[in-house]
Amino acid sequence: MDRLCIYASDVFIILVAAIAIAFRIQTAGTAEPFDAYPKLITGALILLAIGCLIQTRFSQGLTKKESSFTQVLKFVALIAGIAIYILAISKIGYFVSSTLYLLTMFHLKRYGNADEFLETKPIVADSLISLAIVTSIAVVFKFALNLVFPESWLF
Amino acid sequence: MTLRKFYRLLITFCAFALLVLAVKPFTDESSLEDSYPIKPIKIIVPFKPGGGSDRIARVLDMFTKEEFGSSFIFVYKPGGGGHLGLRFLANSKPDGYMLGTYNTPDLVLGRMTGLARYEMDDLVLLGQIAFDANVFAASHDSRFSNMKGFLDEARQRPGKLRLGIAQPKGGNHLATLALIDEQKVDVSLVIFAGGTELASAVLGKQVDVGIGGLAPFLGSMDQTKFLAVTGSKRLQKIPRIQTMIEQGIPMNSGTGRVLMAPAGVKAFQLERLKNGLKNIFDNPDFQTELRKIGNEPAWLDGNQVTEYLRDFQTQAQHLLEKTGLN
Amino acid sequence: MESLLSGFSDIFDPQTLLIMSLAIVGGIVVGTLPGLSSVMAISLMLPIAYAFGPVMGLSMLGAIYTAALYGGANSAILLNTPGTPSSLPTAFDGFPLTRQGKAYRALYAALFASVIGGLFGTLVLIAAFEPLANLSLKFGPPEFFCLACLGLCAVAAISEGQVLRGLLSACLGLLIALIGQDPVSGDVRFTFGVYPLISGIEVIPALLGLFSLSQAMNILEATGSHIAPYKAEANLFGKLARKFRQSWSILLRSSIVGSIIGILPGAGGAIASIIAYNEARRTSKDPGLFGKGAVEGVIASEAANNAQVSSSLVPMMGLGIPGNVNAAVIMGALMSFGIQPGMGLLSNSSDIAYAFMASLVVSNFLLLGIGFYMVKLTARVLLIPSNYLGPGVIALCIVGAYAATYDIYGVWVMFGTGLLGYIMLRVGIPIGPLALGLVLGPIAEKGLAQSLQMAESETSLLSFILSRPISLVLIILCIAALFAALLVEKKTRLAETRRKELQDG
Repeated sequence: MDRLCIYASDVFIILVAAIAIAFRIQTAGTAEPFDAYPKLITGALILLAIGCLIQTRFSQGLTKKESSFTQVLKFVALIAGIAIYILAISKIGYFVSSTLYLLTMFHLKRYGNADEFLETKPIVADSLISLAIVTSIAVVFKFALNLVFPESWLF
Repeated sequence: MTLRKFYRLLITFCAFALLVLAVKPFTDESSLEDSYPIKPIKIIVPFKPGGGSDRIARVLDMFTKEEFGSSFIFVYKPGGGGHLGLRFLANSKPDGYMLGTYNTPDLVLGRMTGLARYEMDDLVLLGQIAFDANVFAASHDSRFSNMKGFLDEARQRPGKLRLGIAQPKGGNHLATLALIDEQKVDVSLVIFAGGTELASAVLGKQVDVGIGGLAPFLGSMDQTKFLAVTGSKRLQKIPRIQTMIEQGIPMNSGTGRVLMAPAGVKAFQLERLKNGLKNIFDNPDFQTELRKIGNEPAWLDGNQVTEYLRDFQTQAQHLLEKTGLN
Repeated sequence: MESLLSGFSDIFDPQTLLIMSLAIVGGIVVGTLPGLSSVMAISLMLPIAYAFGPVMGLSMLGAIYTAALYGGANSAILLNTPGTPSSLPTAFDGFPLTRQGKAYRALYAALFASVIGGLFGTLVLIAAFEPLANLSLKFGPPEFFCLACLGLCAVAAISEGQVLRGLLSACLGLLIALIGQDPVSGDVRFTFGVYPLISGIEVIPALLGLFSLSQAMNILEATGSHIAPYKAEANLFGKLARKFRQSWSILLRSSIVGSIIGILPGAGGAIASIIAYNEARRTSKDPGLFGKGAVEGVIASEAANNAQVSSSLVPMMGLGIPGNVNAAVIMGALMSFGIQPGMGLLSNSSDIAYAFMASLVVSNFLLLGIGFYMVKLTARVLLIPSNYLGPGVIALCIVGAYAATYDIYGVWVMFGTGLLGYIMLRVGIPIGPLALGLVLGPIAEKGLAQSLQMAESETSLLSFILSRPISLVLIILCIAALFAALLVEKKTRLAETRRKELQDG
């Protein structure tokens, strides 16, 4: 190995090993024989992590994928969007949040086209589709299957 | 963003808000006195479907349409030995449309063993509909004929005999630990995650004796040898099997099935629920159906259960510290 | 034999057949929708089953069970989301096939394999459920631990070329499965103060997150207009018929694996399908194709998981001990009809018992017919543009995740595992083994803890293990599986070089 590169997989594997060590420390107070299995698993995980790290040093053919800043940003935005959606579900209620989320996501895809974004026809089309999806979910799951849905302030 | 687009965005949200306001009245519940219950009541079963609690609740459900106007809606929420589901019940809106079922004395053990994150005051007990003593069971070709024999041999060969327990940190577990402590025997305990697992282990001779409910053994009675019953009187289905007390061993435990509602339910709704439950219980068909699935009908009203639990709690506190279950 | 035939005649009345057909349709839909399980559907239909009476009611429940286990293949193939843990290996090859435009091939292969496996399992049930139930009792905690290990060895074996990473992923799954209550002692651990974690990382929200959500995120990020091309293949059935003829040994082996593992109470369908998948891969001439779109993988996985359906009813019918939650609910239905499953079943209620078993056979045939037409419908999912499919799948998965736990916590679990799955995909660590580790973890842990408790009554751990022949056999199989994995690697490299020679020469 001529250069010491750190790949993203290394970061991930080191994190996993750290979590395994944290779990291992927590097992300290458990009575026998219930500590056998957790110790086995955490130990194996740490060994495997070391093994994987060593393997990466000697393997060829690992491509370095370049991620541009905009890609990362887009990804973070997507994750944040989903997280906000789930928060909305717990605070507002499933059906309202889902309709809003679907509508937003469908419409944001049109962001590039100036003659489609926030124009009457596309907005109406997207709204109708999101309403249709949410209504069918409501009919199938809530009314036919009687599943419980999160409700708080609204539905 | 141009102004026109901004207006369109605004209009969309207003239209949406109007739509929500229009639909909202249909989603609100009303709890008028004379029409309660106007919609189906949900019942939380804090175990996996198909288990003992589920079966008992299903038997109850056969009569709810007649009594309350519509069948129950079943909500399964297993976890934490059942206490996760009870926490869900305790935290739910006390609108009179959500009930839960669980066992005694495990109900009070939750807080004491650290498994529960709700207070007993967050729940209101509606009543007990069944009470089942546990059984000590072994494989049909076991060399033991009763528990006295098992305990005697255990004293002679410490640690060589295996005793299986059906559920960790429940009333059963505690009672067994108390027995072992009181009888001063040394057995190897093997803990299983439920009555059916215990039954397979007993039948498969993975353990010498197991303690659990009778119901999982009903399908294999000729392959099972029952050594004792843990209650104060013998069980109908196995009338020749002695109780522990008859064998000279002090042990009186069993599992009661209770129904609960979250605290805060209006008085008239509680009244209706309690009366309805008692009505169903008094129905002889209900009692027959309950016996069909291997459980014994036994009624206690909410206050009586609370009293029983309070007594149990005082006794158990000392025992828990001794056995280290808390 | 005559009782079986009379059982069939009980089933063959138009009303029962109609109810069963509707149940099959419902079952396929439930199985296809990610997050909905057959248990949900069966327990929902219980009151209706009571109203119909024993023969019709039980036939309906059996039909739902059969169809739902098949339905899981649809979402595994089209959306890379296994509908149930047992359909996990189906996604390994099913989704690549979809990507290559061969979705129809995968879907029909899954259907035919499911039906064949299901019929095999049902025959096993009918022929020998009483002796087999007693045999299943011989599996105790040590055997279950070794079985879980065998499942994990199979997982390692299929992570071709990156065995260490596959094992790491599986171990991570086992670690995550530790969170919550110890299944034996009841102690709460690794929750780090978050109370809802007491029930652990539940399988359904985790599967939804790992596969469905990460896939949806992929779809949202991707620039393609659809997730995969929607193409009809020419002479599809001719090619499939040839493939099935060639794979008869895979079908047989997978059905046997599924039937055997299904009998063991608590083992679960995931172990069956992964071992069957591994076996198919091991015996194939070019193992390298597995994971990239080998129909044999789909066939193996689906045959095993449907064979497991009927055989999971064996301990329930033979001893009154349900092997999984589905069997437990069906047993509840049987008991409320006054039928006590177990030792006396054939002497006391043979007519209903045989009618039920006959209905399982008929269900498989109905599944063949109805499934055939529904494949065309479900495949049309591919026609939905990704823009609409991505967010729609997310909204749908949330329903499933919430329904599994009745707590918004389940949705957060899905979110967390979704993020984890996405990161792992980007970083190059396979997520299949993690899912299997999550499913097998509790079985392995229970097995080990209970075995150690049992061993306390023996003189030493070694003498305990030596006294259990089945465990020894399983341990040998584990070692064999790992060795076989090395041999398979060699086979793959040979096939690789042969292919290169053909290309160059």
